[in-house]
Amino acid sequence: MTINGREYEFDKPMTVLDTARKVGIYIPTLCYHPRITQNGSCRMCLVEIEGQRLLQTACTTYIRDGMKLWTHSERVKAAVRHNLELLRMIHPDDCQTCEVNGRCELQDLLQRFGVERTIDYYGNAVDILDESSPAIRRDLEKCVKCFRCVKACEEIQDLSVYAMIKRGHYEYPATAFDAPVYNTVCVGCGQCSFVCPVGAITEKPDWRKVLELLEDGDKVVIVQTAPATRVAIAEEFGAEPGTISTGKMVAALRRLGFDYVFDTNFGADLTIVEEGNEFVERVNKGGPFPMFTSCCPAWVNYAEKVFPWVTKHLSSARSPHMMLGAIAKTYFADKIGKKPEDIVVVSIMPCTAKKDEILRDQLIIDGWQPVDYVLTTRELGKLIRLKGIPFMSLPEEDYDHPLGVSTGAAAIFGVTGGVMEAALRTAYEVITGETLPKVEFDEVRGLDGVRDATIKIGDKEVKIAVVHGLKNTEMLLKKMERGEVFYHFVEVMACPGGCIGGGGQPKSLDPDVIRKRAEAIYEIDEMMELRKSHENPAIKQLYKEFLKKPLGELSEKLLHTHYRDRSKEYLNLWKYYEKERVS
Amino acid sequence: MKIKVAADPKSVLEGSLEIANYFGYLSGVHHVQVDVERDANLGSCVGGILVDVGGEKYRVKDKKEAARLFVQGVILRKKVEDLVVKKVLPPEEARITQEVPIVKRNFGKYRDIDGYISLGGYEALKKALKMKPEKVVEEVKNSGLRGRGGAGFPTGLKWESALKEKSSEKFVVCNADEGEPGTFKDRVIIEEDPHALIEGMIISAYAVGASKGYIYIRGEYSDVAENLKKAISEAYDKGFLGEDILGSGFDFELVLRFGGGSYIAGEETALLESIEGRAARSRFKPPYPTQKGLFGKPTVVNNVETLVKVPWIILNGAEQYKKYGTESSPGTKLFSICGKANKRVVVELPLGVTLREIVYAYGEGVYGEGELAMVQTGGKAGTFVSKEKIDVKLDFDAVKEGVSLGSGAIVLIDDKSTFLDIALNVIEFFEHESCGKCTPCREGMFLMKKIVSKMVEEGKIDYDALQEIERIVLIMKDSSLCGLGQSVHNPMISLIRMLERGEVA
Amino acid sequence: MVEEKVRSALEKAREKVLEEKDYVMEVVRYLHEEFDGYAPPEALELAAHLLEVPPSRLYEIATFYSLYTLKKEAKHVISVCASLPCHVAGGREIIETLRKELGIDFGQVTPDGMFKLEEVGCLGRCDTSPNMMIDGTLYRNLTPEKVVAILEAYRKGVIE
Repeated sequence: MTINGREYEFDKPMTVLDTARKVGIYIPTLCYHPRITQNGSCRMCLVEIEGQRLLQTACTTYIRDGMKLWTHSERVKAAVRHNLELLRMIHPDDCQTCEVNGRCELQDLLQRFGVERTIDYYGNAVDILDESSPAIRRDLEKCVKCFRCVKACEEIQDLSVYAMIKRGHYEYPATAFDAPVYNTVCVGCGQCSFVCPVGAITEKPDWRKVLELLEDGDKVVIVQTAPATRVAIAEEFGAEPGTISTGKMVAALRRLGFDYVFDTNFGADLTIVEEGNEFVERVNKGGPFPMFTSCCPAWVNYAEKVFPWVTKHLSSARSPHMMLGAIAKTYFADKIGKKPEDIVVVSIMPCTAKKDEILRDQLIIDGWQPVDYVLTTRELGKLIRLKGIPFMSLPEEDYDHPLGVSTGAAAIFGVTGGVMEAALRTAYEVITGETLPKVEFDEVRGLDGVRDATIKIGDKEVKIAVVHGLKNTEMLLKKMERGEVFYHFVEVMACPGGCIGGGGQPKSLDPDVIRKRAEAIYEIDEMMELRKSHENPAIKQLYKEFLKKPLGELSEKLLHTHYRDRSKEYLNLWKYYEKERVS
Repeated sequence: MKIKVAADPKSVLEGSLEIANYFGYLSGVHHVQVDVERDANLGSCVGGILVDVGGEKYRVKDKKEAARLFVQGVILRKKVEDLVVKKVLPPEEARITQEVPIVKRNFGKYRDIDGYISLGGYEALKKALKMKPEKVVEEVKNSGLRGRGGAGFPTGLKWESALKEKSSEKFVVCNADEGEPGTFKDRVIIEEDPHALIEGMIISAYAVGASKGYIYIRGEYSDVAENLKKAISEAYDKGFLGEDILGSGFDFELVLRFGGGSYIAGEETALLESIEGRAARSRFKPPYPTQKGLFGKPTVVNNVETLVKVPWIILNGAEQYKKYGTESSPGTKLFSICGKANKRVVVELPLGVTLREIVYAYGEGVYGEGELAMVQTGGKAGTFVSKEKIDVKLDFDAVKEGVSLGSGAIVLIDDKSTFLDIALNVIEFFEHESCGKCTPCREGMFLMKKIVSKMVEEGKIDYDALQEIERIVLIMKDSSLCGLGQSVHNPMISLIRMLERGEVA
Repeated sequence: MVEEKVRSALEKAREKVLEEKDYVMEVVRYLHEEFDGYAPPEALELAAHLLEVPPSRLYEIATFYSLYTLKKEAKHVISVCASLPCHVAGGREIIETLRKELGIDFGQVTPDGMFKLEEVGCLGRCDTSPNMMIDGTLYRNLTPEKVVAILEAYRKGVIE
């Protein structure tokens, strides 16, 4: 086939868009996103194909033998430019203060094609500002009606929080009856904010508060970073997905003014010890099974809202950053002679749901919140940029002790299957008392939606499953309800690929971004000297000095939680219909 | 008093029936009792219509003259010297295409399924069930039947590609979402001959290997649909629907579904979305519905008129069908004549008929004071055709001359309508009906409405703005996702051209 | 009360089903029948749960299609055809008459809550234009005089 007059040969069917990108030809897109199916609606990826009366969309057209096409003929450019003019017609000009300034696909397109405001600004037909959710913020005045959020919520999570309501110029992605998104079935996963090409859906921004805290506050500010952040943050500075930049990230956090830089991986190791022991206890007691992991807050929200029976099966272990927060404000505070109230903990997370998680009543200990703020990986990138820190040329620095010490088992928390694998590494050795012959559990690795296996631990056969994406989860849970499958232990991650594909991660149109980040995660694991959570010396010391034993009294207070049936809480959305919105 | 108006074919094509109707109109306006007779033997004249008032022969060129003749000649009973015809010619022959009742074959002839059967109903189904599905498809293919919903895609080819698809389940869907303004033929079919539609659907399902069918009818037709509902239940009772139809081993379930008031739901993929319980927003193609249609299964979507022709073709053969119409556009087409027409009816004429024949012989010209200014053909997304172009032959090739055949809508518009009036009407409609999926249509319609509204407010035409509109609709045509955005240039540009030529003010 | 009507609408919509979710539109249609011209949000949400479709989906349907509405804004809804075949055949004057008689524009409700005026694309009755529909009843071959008389009949309760 011929693209722009040059001959190419391909042997497998691909879309024109994928083909062009493969050979390095730029085709603009706006509604296309590799995480969802094509919508074919923005009409940006237009190409001219010989023999076709009208322009065709590259994202939906498949290459054919002998096809001749042009990606930027005058005809194509005129159409793309005009369609951009039309989007500019409804899009406000407040880029400077927009959350996604510099990270906006519309902005890039307008710049690329030099589209001035040739058509009067008529405003968007919708101006809803929905700040109800601690996880995400919807500023629909900026919406370009690309359908990505609608499709992401439907196709990845099968929640369909949004639907494109009304028609024509007046349409917009609404929640049912325009209820505040926090009151809907929304679990806060933030996939909508990840795919949104503009600033219409973002994480609920908390970076400004943290900035003020760092510049003006008199408290001890502790920061911790989730496993998945270190393989993604560099993308914010132009690096390839999967670039490991743990040391630079630590250095950047110090330069931002954080007093202590800890690693959520420490919390992950702690989680495994607690959760692993909880599982061992259930194995010894004979149930209840299955046990579900509980470190993904979007999944916990989902279980409480949609499958309340699951709440009785969730591990009672708090998520890693909550554990670290609790330890930092007790054990570590004591070491530096502070009280919990003197300390502020900020978590850097690949996740928007974590912003919601920290506010859960059940997680408050003696009146204080273990974690005070959650920033997404994207927000951290923004802070570093705004402070003029030259991220890519920073030296590699280490986490502070002792809550910065971790193992490979903690590192893989960031990828689907990782929590399971980490738990198995510990459970195996706790149950059998023997050393694992092979650390890697290949059965739970990979990116298939649902993976299951039977693992032999001593004389016991443990049936496990790993699932990511709530649509896959829903299918699996329904199979369980019908009695078609049985598992002892199930890991659930709401986002595709696990936390590496989290809703708070750097936005990416790279179709392989999840695979690349996953590979980096496993690389970190391999580089670690210690690869089993229970071998973490800082953890051992923590138990010795402070917690005494897993599932002990103090553990229960600081490291465990309980869940509620919230299946009735997202009903009666109709009451919000045409109510004045209070933001 | 008696007025005779020439009604020989030549005079008819020149608008004599419009004049005859106008006299009737004038008698109402002036409250004068007159007897208007259409006389094919009256004779004819050059440069006008021959009219006989009380034995005196006049020639009227237009409605102004007709009105003067009425006041002076009829009411005041004076001789109108300057209108007296100089030379009366004999009646003159001209070709007026006659109606061919293929779709209309049973109109007005039956009330229930027994009546339909006594007219030969369901015989085609019996014949088809004895044929191999491939044979049925071939017959339809050979007939050259093209879709009658507007796009004109060859029906046989569509069926063939669905037949070739390997799938455990296939669907046939009848598109009865007749939302194209000025089109009401499908409604009349459903009122007059619902069983032919059902029979056509069963045959199409058998031909492509579908076991389930939907008739998607617009919500505005809920009263009409009662007739269809009754017919479907009759067909079930008689064993034409359901399991093992007529002992052939072929099963077919048919159900009715209603639209909710959306023009774009008439676009086949949007229609499928609607049946699936979503907003009617078009899908991109390919994949075509015949590959991946309703609920992801191969689906054939056909218009009502198309399906009603199928039993006739099966019974009478493809060759017989091809005797009508033109080579590229065989067979007949239903035309819905409306707007300012004197006679607003559905007529069935072989393709290739001229617009003049439809307008003057069947529509009898425009009603009331105004003169014919233009005709919109093909529906709201069709073209405006000026009076000068009225001799155009209507078939699927007419589009090359800038005349849409579309759904067969023929909307007569008189000279009381201004450019801005029509333009705003067109753009308001499309702005309201754009589904909002793709950028050029969603925002382009909105922008055009703003532009035209501004001109209407200011009461003057801005020619620079019209150029902008041309640019908008041409890019919309080139880059829109579905047929809606791709066809709005038809009315907009044809109307602008008429303005430029001074054919509309 | 609401639940009863919703269940009744569901039952009617399910009368004949060929595919699992092929009757969602029918449910919304029957809700309008049950609730006399509109589908209250409460009913839509309940219907969504019973249908096991996301409530956002029914909100989408109820806001997308022009025959559907979530609000009962007036006792009678007048849908007048604004399309070209009606427009050029006297529809212009019909719309003028309605505006003048009711004292409102499209999308508005008379102060007494009696009428809402809406324009519709095409009612498919172009052989008898101009046309309008009041609460689903068709009025054809309209003249300004007829319109005035029809409105009067509704006002006086001659037509309910």
